[in-house]
Amino acid sequence: MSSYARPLDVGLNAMAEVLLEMVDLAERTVSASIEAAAEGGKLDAQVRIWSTELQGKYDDVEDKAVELIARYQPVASDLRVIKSSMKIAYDLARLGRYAYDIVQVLDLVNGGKAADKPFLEKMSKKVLEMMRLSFETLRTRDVQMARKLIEMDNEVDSLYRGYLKGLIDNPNLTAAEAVSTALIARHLERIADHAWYIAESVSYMVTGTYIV
Amino acid sequence: MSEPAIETKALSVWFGRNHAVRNVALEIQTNQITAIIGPSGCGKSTLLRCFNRMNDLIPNARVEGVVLLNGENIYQLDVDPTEIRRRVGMVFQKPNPFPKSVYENAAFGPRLNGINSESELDSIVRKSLEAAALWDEVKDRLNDSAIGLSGGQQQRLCIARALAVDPQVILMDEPCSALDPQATAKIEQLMTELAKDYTVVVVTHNMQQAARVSNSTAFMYLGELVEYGPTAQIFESPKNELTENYITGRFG
Amino acid sequence: MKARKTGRKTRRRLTGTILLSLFVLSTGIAIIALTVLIIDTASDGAPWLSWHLLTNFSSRDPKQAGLRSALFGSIWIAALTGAICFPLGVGSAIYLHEYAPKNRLTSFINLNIFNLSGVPSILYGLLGLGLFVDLLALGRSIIAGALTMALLVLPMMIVASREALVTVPEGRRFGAYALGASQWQVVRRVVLPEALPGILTGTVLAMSRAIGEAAPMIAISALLYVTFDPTSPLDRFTVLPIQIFNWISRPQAAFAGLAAAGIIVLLVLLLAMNAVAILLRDRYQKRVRE
Repeated sequence: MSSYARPLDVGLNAMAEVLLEMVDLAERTVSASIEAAAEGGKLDAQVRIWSTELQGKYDDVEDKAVELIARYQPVASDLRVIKSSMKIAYDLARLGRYAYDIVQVLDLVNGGKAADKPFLEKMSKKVLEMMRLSFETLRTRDVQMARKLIEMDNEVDSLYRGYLKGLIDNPNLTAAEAVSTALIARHLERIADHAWYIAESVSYMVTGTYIV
Repeated sequence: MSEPAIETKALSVWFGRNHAVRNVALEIQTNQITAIIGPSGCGKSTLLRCFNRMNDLIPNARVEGVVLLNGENIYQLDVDPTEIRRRVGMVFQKPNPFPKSVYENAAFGPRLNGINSESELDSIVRKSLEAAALWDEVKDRLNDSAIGLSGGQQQRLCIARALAVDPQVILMDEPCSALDPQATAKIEQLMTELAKDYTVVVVTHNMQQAARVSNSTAFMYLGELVEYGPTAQIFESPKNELTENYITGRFG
Repeated sequence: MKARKTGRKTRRRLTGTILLSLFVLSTGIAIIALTVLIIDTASDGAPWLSWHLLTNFSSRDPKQAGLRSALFGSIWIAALTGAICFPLGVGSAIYLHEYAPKNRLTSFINLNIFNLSGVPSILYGLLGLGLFVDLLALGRSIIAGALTMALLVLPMMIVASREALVTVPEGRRFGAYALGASQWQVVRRVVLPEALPGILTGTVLAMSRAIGEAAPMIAISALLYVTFDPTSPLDRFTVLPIQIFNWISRPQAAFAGLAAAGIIVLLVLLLAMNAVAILLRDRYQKRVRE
């Protein structure tokens, strides 16, 4: 059995490279937005640029995927890689978008000074951990690693819901504090969700099923 | 699920010392199109020829195992191969119409079975040519030589000829390899129509064709049945690495 | 450098021209020789061609002599040989090609059939004499002659029939089998109809050979002076080559001219049969080419 580079492989490799670039970019973008929430710095311009870049790269991945399908009629693992790459690129672009949404909230509410920083620090730490684990799963295609993300996602979910419940009962917060924290927490929760979706796509790429 | 049209158990074929088909167990479902794919020399055509005992005609071929047609073993000693071949028809890679008229080609099979009345033959010929999507093109040329037809028309004539004896199963051995894309498309369309009334088994080296027309796909390699399953599943997530490597073009 | 290249080129062209000239020359010699022969014979025999040449019996008087008995004899022989040879030849060819197992014995038989066609014809004459004339007590009759000639041309007939069968592509047989035909149905309905023109060509060629052979006929018939029309296969006979030979052996100059005329008649007969063979072959090729 000889293996040789097929014409399709050139296209697949190009697509994989763009995905890796998107991973780096998404990591930077999300970290920056979380830092902004913690320190209150004005990074929204940078985050906005990066988010747009991510969207552009997603369009590139989609175009490339369609081109490969039209030209090569890929099947089996090739087809799954292409489908997953489209989905993962979309999820990565969403990460950028939510990061951008976070800095927008900070913009609205005076640099985030009013946000419940300890809570947000706790939540964002979990989310960043989840995101990094998801990216590691993508780089290594290790489906077992992806399983850890289920538990982490549950933890993030309960943190988020718990906080919302607490908000209603807590009279001590100002409206600004409550709204900004709630919004940022929601965006963080969505970032966690998309990190989970990426892991699901990795499972599909490798095994053919979404069940991790 | 109804009984499979054809079922094989421990089917092996030897050509002298060459073990061409190894221990194949396969079920061909009724009224479906089953494709058999695999690299050259993997035994797919040999396997196909087991279903209508055409391997009997090859001098040093030896067949072992069981092939059930509607539950009955066609390789039993008291079975007449010509009877089997009436129920299991075959279309070959290179269209092989007889150097007779279009009408006589289609009427050949029924005449073999003793049908000689003109009215009966007329009706059978017409029905077969219609079923093979050829009637409109030849209805004014029934007495012209079949050799004058185009490649695609000749192949459809061969299909009509096979249909004229009213078989249960139609075997197709790379039916489109010698045809251009338009003729191929017509025949693929025809296959889908035929599957409504017959069971179709097609051997093809064109994987895209297998993916396009078949309900189930069987992958063979070096005489063995490596994987067999619904076509959508084989082409999206094959279970076997060999299958995966073959259909993605990493070898073969 | 350039001089050497042109040297090689001119040498190649020169060789080509020389060879071409040699080929043309040899073909020319053959054609010229044949033409001279034909013209010579024609000029000698032409004055003796007449209707009574064909209707008169042989006679000591050259002006009365005719080919009648020889002509009838040749036609009888040709027809009977064809009738005997056709079923035997085609049957053998069908058995050898379609039914016989493809083993060493069959190859051996095929090879030797081919060799038989090279055996000197006089041997067949002697065989015929011993077997048909004496042993089977058929006497020096037409039937003995026809049987002998049949043996002579049978190998040729079998080979020609086999060639015709071989030209039927294997795919057609498979197509017929796949429709549920038995072996005999395949042979009768697919192979034979397609091979028939080729087989007929072979038959006609066999018959024309039967007309032309002198040696075996001399051995069988011996009778060189026949003045009756043969009416049954058991009658004595003579054939054109024998009559021609007889006339040539006579001292009178006139008979030389008669012999030449006889040769012309024989050639015309042979040409006519070959023309039929060619026509059949052309019709066969036209059908296949469609």
